[in-house]
Formats: sequence, structure tokens, C-alpha cells
Amino acid sequence: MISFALSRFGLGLATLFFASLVVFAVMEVLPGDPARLMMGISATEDAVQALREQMGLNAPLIERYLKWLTSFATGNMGRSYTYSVPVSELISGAVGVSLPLALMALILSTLIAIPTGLFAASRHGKRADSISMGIAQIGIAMPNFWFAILLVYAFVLLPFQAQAWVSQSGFWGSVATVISPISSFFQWLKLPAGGFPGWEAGFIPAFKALILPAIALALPQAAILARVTRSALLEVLGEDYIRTARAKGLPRNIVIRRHGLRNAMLPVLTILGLQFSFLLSGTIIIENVFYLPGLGRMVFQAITQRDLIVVQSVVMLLVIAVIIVNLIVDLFYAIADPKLRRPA
Amino acid sequence: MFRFAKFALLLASTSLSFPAASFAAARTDLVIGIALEPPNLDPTAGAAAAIDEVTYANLFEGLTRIDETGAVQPALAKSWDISADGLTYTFKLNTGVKFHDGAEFNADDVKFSIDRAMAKDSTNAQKALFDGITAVTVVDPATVTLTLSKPVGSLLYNLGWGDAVMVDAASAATNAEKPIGTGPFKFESWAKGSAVNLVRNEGYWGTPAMLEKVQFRIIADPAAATAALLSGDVQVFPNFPAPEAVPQFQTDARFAVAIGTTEGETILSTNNKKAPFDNLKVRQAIAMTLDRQAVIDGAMFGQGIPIYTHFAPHNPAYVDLSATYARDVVKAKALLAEAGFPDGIKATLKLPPVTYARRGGEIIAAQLREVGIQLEIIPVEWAQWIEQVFTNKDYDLTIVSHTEPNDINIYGRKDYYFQYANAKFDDVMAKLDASADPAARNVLLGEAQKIIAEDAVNGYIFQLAQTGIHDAKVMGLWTNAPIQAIDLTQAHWME
Repeated sequence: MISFALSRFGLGLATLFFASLVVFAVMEVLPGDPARLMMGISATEDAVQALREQMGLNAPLIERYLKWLTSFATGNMGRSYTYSVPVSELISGAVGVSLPLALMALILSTLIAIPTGLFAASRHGKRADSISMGIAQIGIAMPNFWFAILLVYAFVLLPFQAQAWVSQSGFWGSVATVISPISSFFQWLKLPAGGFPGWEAGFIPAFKALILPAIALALPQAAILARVTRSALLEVLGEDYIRTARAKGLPRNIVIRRHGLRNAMLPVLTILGLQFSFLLSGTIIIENVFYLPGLGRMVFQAITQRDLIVVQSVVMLLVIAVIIVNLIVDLFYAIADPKLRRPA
Repeated sequence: MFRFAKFALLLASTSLSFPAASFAAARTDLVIGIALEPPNLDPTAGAAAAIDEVTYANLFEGLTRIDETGAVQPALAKSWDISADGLTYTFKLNTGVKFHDGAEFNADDVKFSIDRAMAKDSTNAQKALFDGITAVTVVDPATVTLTLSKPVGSLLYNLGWGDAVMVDAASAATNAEKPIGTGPFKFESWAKGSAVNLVRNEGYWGTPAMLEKVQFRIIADPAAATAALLSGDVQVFPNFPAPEAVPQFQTDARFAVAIGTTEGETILSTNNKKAPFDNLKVRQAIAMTLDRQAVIDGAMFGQGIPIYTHFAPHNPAYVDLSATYARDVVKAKALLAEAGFPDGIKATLKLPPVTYARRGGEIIAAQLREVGIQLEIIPVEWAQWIEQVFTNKDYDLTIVSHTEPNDINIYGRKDYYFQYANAKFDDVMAKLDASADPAARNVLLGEAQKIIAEDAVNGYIFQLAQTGIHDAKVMGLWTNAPIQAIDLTQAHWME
């Protein structure tokens, strides 16, 4: 177990070093001068030069790489070119949005997906199976940014409009009257259409700001996870030991839970690990729709502004996060499957 | 169910109590949506429009300021005298002015601010504003003189730019993160990527602001901007990023839509030194082919004013040059044939990642195809655009909006990216510099507009509109943007 963890750790370090080289090289090769981008097209050349000097952009390539690498290793990530504040400050703010959001989405998607997969697998071939998997298919096909816009419309904007229609006559007036308790509930709840007030504004407002983004992120992920859970379970349920368990008289539900689900967990865990990494880093579109100041948006903005230091540091952190998540998933494998604990 | 009904009743009763609340004093908080986040909050260090939008007139003030009509008004300088030869400006400063940190503002700060902006290692993006100033002299704490090496007719205007605001020596280095100015609002906090918060400066020297709390919230996504306004999360969007959603707001009585003009001349920039665009006839043919209104309708949902030269139509010095090269496709084809291209031209059109360029570029390419100019569209991002087009001049045509106010002087820069040179134009610019008389300046500016229009230096397309949407109860906002600013000094809620 220890040597297993150690070898994974070593692999992680090597990945990290390689990633640092690639990130640095790519940012160097990309055209565009951060100083000129800051100063705009009517600035004079000597003002731009002065800024380049101030940013330390005139130093040789290797020197800048080593400087950045050593400062990153000591936790001092340097200052952002554009914001001119410490990168660590920027990143901790963004992580405070992205990490809770990713966790919320992950928990939500797991809570929806595993019971759904279980349900569909236990009713394999029946109508309930095809309906739930049909819904999952829609979930997979639906782009999450579009779903996000729908959520904002349904839970933020529509309640206000519906209340205004209550007094009207005609079809929409009566629809609005019927759903009036629901719309007034959401009017009272007042989920924001986007933005993030920050955790310092209190837990409730911050949590409320993350609800719709988490749903928008979670449902498409849940759809994938539900399908994986279902097919993994179905495969396991075809095994001999399941037939043996059934033959010795165990009820079907207990067989599925005790013998089926645990053995079906490996592919589910793999997907979960991948999804968490994706949720942490790939939420940029959702962050844009809800204008949340998360990691994805920060790195996107930094790339367009050629804010080298920020891009490098965020990418490195994401690489670290992915490595850690994979490590955790690997360790969970070992727990779920005792065969993996023995050295190969 | 019963409990839920009671809950609904409770909600209904709270909503009934709202009208009573409206008798109280008017609201004093405002949330303003901006599409781009300022990279920093120091207007003297960076060209991003978002910096000035947050800070100009709100946090920082200069000796003079530009008002909503684009005219120069006194600000920290209450008056000035100009010597007969135009070489000495004496400014009388307002007294009792304090920076937000309590430091006193006086003539020493003026000297510091201007010297700092002009210094060799200055990173002021508009250093050229201070060209001609040779010395800043403190006469007494409330008087300062600027000595010039040559008359600069636009000096008072230049000093009204955001890049020329007054800063304190003690806080200048940290203004990027924690701006300290003399304005009617004070900086409170900045949640990066999310919002900038300001509060009223209770010790303001002039007329205090009516709002107590102001938040600039950063919303880049057009759909999100629409939702934020509709839900009331944001009450003002001075430069609304989704022109397609504007009709929805125009029909909604809760909102007011104001379509104003800006200083953004959107042009088909042309590489004047690269064949075949070095040929006047080719450029004239392009000018005659452009259907400006079609671009405005197709790319900007009808928002924008056609232009025929590099000048803002709202400016008093603007001259109508629409007849110089009226649209005439047949004549354009003939001109191309005369220029030696009877079979047309193949060229590239590099488009930066802004809506007006990407959408407008497709339409312009289709228009130019009519006369046989085949354009290959190359989308680029800003960093690439700056490197390839702006710095290396490796392009044929591009579309970009020049948003700096009164920037016709860029046609006199020899190494500028459209590579234009005309001694006659330079001559007019020299005379303009030497003249401080508004009427004479307007005549000269008219001449300059005419020269570049006749030379068809670039394809002039339209003046970028500023589509402002705000809660109908918010008053005192600017409709036009003669300078990059979201001036909140007069903003207030209707009682």
C-alpha cells in the first residue's frame, strides 16, 4: 500500500515538472506582449518599454523560468502583470468559488446519479429503465451553458413575470394564478441571476449564488454518471457469483446492494475522479454565464491578457489538484478492490 | 398544504407593504454592470477603458475635466490664465481639497503628478498628452504654472483625460490596487473577477455625490447581462453588451434605454504602404463600395452612425463628408480597372475578437466582393492583433474601433500601423497645435478631416454607439461618452 502510494506520488511530481515546462513554453510561443496589451494602441513605444522593464519581461528566458519555478515551489507565486497583486491572493479568492462549486456539483450529481443508475439497472429492460435512461440521454445531449440560461429564466426571471401576469385575464393569467404560490416562493427566495457576493457577505448569500450554477453543472454530469453506474451494475449482475448469491436465496435488492454495487464501483469512481477534475477546471462556461469569479474564468482572462504569471500558477495548481484527485481515486480503488493492494 | 397556504399569505402581506416603504427617502445605492474588468484602478497606468470607467470623476480628478458634451470644465483647478504667446499656463487651484487618505492636495501634488507622467521611466499609456510641457513650477500652494516649448492648443483638454489625473506622492505607487484620489467617491474593496465597491467621500471638497454606495459588477456574457438587468441585480448597464436584446428593454416600462454616441471611430484600417492598398484608386474604390448603413444594421442591430472620416459626428468640429466618395459600385469597378486590377484583388482581412469586427467583417467582405475584392477573413485574438497588425504591420485590412477621444492626430504618426504620410496633413496638425482659439481650431480640424477622407486612408464605417440601459428611476447618467467614463457624480434615484 505504501509503495503504491509512493510510486503514484513520484509520478505526480514528474507530471508536475513536465507541465511547468509545457505551460511556460506555450506562453512564450504565443504571440502578444503583455505590456503592449496593458498600454493600448495609442501608447508610445518608450512607455511600453518602461513597463516591460518594470514587469521583468526583459530578462532572459531561462532566468525567468527558474525564477518562477523557485518562487512557485516556495509558495510565493509572484505578482500578476495585469492586476499587480500577489497571484496567491488572486488564486485563493478564485478557489473559494470554484472548490465549493465543484464539491456541490459533485455531491449533487452523485446523489442523483447513483440511485438512478441503481434503479435503472434493477429494472433492466423495463419501461422505468428506458424512461430514466432516456432522460439521462437528454441530460448528456444538453449543453450545460444553455441549461444554465434556462435555469436562470425559470427560477429567477419567470417568477417575477408570472407575478405580474396574475392579474391578467386569459390563458397566461390563469396559468400564472395557478403557479402563483411557486412563483412567489422563488420571488421570496430571490436566487441571484449571477454574480458572487463573496463568503465574507455571509454563508447564505454566497451559498444561494452557487445553487443554480451547481445544478447546471451537476445535471449533465449526473446523466453520464447514471449511465455508467447502470452499465457497470448490469455487467456485474451477469457474473456467476451474483447467480450464486441469488441461488442461495438472498433477496434481489440485497444482492444488488451488497454484491453488485460494490463491485460496480470501480468504473464509477474513475468517472467521478475525472468529473471532479473537470468540475474544478472546466467550469469556465458556467462561470461566464453566472459571472462567477472562479478559476476557469480567471485563467481565461489571464490568457487573453497574456498574464503569464497567473496562467502558469493556475495551470500548475490545477495539475496538482488533478494529480491529488487521481491519487485519492487510486487509493479508493485499493479499498474497493483488495486485489489492487498487493504489489504487482 | 395548510401551512403552505399560510406561508403564501405571509408573502402576499409582505408584498402589500412595499408601497408604504416607498414613501421613505430615495435609494442611495447603485449597482452598475460593466462588461470588462479593469486590470487595475490607476488611470495613469494602463489604457484599458474599464479603468477610466470606474475611476474617472468618481475616484480621481484632474486639473480640468471633460463634461458630458465633451467640453472642458474646471475641476481641481478653479481657473487658469494663458499667456499671449500660449507658452505659459497659470492654474489657480481649489483650496481645502483632501485626498481620500486625508493628505492635503496642493500645487506640489500637481508638480508631482505631471512630472511623474512625463518622466523617462513613466508607464503612462498616454504620455503624448504632455508633449510640449517643459516645466511645472509651484508658485504658491494654490498656484502652479506650466511652461511649454511650443503652443499646445489642446492642453486644457489633454489635462482633462483620465491619464492626467492628480495623485499623491505617498499613494501613487499603490493606486493600482488601492486608489486614492480626490473624487466624490472613495474606494472600498475589489473582489477580483467580480466587483469593485465604492462609497461616498463624506469629506469631498465640492458638491457631494447623491449615492452612498456604488458597485461596479463585471458581467461579460450578453445573456447574463440581460438576466442581471431583468432581475434587478444590476440597475445600470452604461455600455450594454447585447444589442440584440435592446428591443426587449425598449418595450419594458421598468427600463430606460439611451442610445448615445462614443468617441469610437470604427474603421476598415488599411495598410497604406502595402500593395495594392498603396494605390489611392484602390482605396477610393473601397470607400465607394462600403455600404455603411448595411454594416450598422447587420452587425450592430441598427445602433451606430455612419462616418466618412476619422471624427466623431457629435463633435462641433465635425464636417459632413458623405459626398466625397458616395456609394457607386460601377465607378468603384472602373477605378480598380484604372489602377490595374480589372480582374479584382485578393487580400486578407484580420478581425479582432469584438462583435463589431467579427460581424461587420463578414458584411464588408460581402460588399467588397461586389467589385471584385476577394477577402480572406482571418480571425485573431487581441494579443495576436497587437503583435501582427499593430506592431509588425503584417496585414492588408483589419477592422478596429479607435476609442480615444479627438484622436485624428494619429494620422500624423509616421510609424503608425496604417502607415499613412501626407505633408499637407502634418502642416494642418502643426497649425492646430499652435492655436488655442476654438473657432480657428474647428476650421483646422475640418481641414484635417477632409484631407484624410479624400486620401481614403482607411475605410470609415461607423461611430460606435453606446447603448445604455438603466432602471427608469435612476437619473443623472450620461447618455453620450465623449470620454471613457461612467460619471456618477450626478447619479441618483428618483424620489
